[in-house]
Amino acid sequence: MNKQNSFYEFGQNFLGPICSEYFFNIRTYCSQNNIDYLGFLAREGYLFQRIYKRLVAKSLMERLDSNYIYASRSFLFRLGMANDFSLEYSLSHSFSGSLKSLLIRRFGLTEREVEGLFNDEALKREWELPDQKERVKSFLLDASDALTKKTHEPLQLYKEYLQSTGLTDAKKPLLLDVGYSGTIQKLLTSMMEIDTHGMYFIATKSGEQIIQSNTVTMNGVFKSGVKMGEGYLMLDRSLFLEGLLTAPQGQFIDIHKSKTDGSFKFTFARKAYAQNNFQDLNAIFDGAIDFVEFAFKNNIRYSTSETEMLFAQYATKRNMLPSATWAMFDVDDAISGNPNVNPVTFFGL
Amino acid sequence: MAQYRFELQTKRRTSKAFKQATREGLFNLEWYEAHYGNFSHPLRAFEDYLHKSKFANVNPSALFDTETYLRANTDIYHAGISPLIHFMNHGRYEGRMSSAAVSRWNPVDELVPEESLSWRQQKVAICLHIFYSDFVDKFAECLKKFPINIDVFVAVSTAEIADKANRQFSQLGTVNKLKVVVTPNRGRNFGPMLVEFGKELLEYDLMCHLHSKKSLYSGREQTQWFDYLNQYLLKDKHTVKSILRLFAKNPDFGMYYPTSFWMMPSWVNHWTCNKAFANDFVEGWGIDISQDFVNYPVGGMFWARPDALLPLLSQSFTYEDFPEEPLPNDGSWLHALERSVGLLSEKQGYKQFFYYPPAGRFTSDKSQIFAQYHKHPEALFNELNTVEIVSFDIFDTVLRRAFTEPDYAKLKLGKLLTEKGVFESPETFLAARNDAELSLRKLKSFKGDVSITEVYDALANELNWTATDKCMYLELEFELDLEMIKPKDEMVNIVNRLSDAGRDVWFITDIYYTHEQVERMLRKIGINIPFKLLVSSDLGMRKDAGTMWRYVKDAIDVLGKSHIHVGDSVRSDAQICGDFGLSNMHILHPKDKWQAAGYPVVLTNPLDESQILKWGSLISNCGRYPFFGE
Repeated sequence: MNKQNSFYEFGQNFLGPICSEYFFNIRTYCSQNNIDYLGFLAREGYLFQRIYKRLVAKSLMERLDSNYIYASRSFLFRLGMANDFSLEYSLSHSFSGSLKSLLIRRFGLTEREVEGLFNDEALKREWELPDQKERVKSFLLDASDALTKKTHEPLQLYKEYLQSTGLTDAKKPLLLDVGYSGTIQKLLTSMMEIDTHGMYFIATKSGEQIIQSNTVTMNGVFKSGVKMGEGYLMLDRSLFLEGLLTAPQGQFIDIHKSKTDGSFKFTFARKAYAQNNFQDLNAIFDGAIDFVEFAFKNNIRYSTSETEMLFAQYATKRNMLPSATWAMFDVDDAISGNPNVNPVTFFGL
Repeated sequence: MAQYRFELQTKRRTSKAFKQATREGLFNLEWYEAHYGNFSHPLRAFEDYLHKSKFANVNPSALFDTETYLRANTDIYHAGISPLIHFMNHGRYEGRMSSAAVSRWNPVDELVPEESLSWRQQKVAICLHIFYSDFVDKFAECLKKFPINIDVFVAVSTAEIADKANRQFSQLGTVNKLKVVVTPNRGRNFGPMLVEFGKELLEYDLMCHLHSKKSLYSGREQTQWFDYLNQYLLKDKHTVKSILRLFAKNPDFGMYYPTSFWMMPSWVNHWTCNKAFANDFVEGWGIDISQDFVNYPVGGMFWARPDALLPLLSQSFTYEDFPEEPLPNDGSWLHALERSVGLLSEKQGYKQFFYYPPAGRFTSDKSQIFAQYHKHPEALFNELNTVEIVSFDIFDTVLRRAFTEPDYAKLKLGKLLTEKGVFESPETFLAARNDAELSLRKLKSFKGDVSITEVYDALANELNWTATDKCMYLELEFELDLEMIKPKDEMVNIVNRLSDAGRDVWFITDIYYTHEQVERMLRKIGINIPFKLLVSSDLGMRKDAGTMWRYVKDAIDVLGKSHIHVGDSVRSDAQICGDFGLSNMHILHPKDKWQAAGYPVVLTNPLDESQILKWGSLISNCGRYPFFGE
């Protein structure tokens, strides 16, 4: 009953204030820091790019060079399988299972690729992460020749792709993502050897960090310096945001180049419910985008505590979420190796 | 087990019902114990259900919903029959409505009573007001089983009851000190407690106040409401121990009572017409009564930490401070006091906590007062579709304003007129516009109603406008409002579907707009069915004055059809409508739903455009569907 309007108004209320504040902060940050490029990181970047385009079209934000950038932790982890720096990140999330399972689920390799890299005995061996991180890391680095061979071509291709997005030409690129620890920003910084800025809803650590020889600057709009499980609701229940802030495609997992016209071709993992019902998600996004435009036109600002309060009602009460939206929150939790997670049930609402 | 076998053989009728209910899964011991605690044997659990289900909305299993059955079959409720027994023996063969257990409200937290040494050490006063003699026996039975020793303060209406209370209570091993006072019939239950015992109660760690209560809202003599409150305040040993444990463990808990009696109207936690009587408390205690719904012990029975009520209990009262009987059913200083005690405890820095019987949980979730506002649109349609005539209020019932604030169109017009130099500021226009309306109402001695045409005639006279300007400004006010009118989509769908299903649809509104203007608004929101429209300014009758309801009642009586009215105003659409014997269903106004969702008060100034723009659309969206469960 009235599903589309229900989605639209839910998008206004749930995503509207949080996104408008995010963009007010981006606008200020860009002008204060001479940002010359905006990189909308997949998948949250899909909505952010749409909001940005609307604001620019309505002359509510300055037009900068910008692009939607296909990136995912899974893909970047794969490119860095033989890289000490990258493994530090890719092996730090909890995991329990065989090497084969780890390589397929976390690094996005196919079964055929995995079997070509390691013998059966090695593949069957069980590991616990992050407890055995150092041992797994040495194990993979011992096989770095074979792994580098495997990742060399996609790595070069991906770098070429990133160059084509304008990211590497920018003097001060700002990467836009929901959060939280900036893994993708750090991996891209390391890979492309550029300085980057990042703007997040929440940053586990804000400020400047030196990544190898480059500088990563991270900013949290609503909160900085908090970690998952420490009681900050917007982070602890960020699955509600991650579930919705997605693109029409599943997770980005691979890149190829067309042999006919030289264009980049992207491969995506399975779609979650929201992606299979993208017309519904679009209605939610339309509500959010219209709300941000309205907020910008009327200079409507929400304090952080107001934004947190608005988020908290939805993230703690099942009845606040229209029943038609419940399935939209399904998150593809590939990194942990778990099947899809839905925060509505996960948090026992 | 021996006792279980023995009782199975000796309680043959109960035993037979128990076996049948268990066999059919209608009674599920595991489910029942998971919700309501452990029992010495299965038959005891079943008996517990049979007893409580006459007055409490506890369920025997996931397959049967006590509340649904008793709400749909009020004859069973009034007869005091356990619903499951009736369903098994008769109801299902008679085609009576029943359902599986329904989750109407889920508390966001659960307070778990923990064992400690301190809960038994608390100094407890039980303060009773007994108007009916038979309640001495009921209270004595509860006090006898009280888990710790207590002091008892009793106010009674006659010397006979005083003798009886003295005789019975003094024999109880749990009662240390006993004080019985005969009091005049003034101040209902609060008067005697405050006049006779107020300051003494301050010497205790905890107090529990109950009184003999027989009548329900309808005036029908029933004890279910009292039984419900008594069960979860004083009678149930497990609950009482839990209350004492929770108070002992949480020094910031100031007041406890079970969630509002489930058979009360859904709006029972509304201030209704009592805010005007609460000025003393606002000024004296500094409580905030800006919200329309309030957490309070409906029925005036509660546990409290006396310190949480210090400003009330320490005040010196005489019986002359309380209004004389007969008191109105609603709308008095005492009704306002009842609604204020929870707020007072919060003002004193304490929290309130509650027991929700269906879930068997203690909670501090204050949204319990909206537990009855959970209904899926399909269920709402089905409920209304059983009636021949369904009348709807219009504003905030089937349509809403994009920014919620009803005066925003006037403010916008004020801005336009200010730009044209007609007024100094939007605020001065708004004041002049509303003053003109008020003056007209005074002129009519608040009888009948005022139309927008009359308002602008008066303004034009006062300000020497030309006829053309007057018409243009009037039309502008309407058009600015019309532009911001949006459908309450689910409600509009239901209205149209009801008409398609052959129901007569009426709209009844108290508004200054003309009949034609209101029709345009209905057309704009997608009402395209035959309907009867009753507009107050057109008919000179209003819902809030009752005159409209007299008219509607007469019209419906002539037609001889069944009828229900749906609206968002507790006073106009529910309480006063009900006073005329008309069935009604209250739905949440967008601002009420905003409060029910847990949001703070945000739209406080109708002249503050930045506030209207910031919060108005969020509230309007939140309140589009007037229940939870969309």
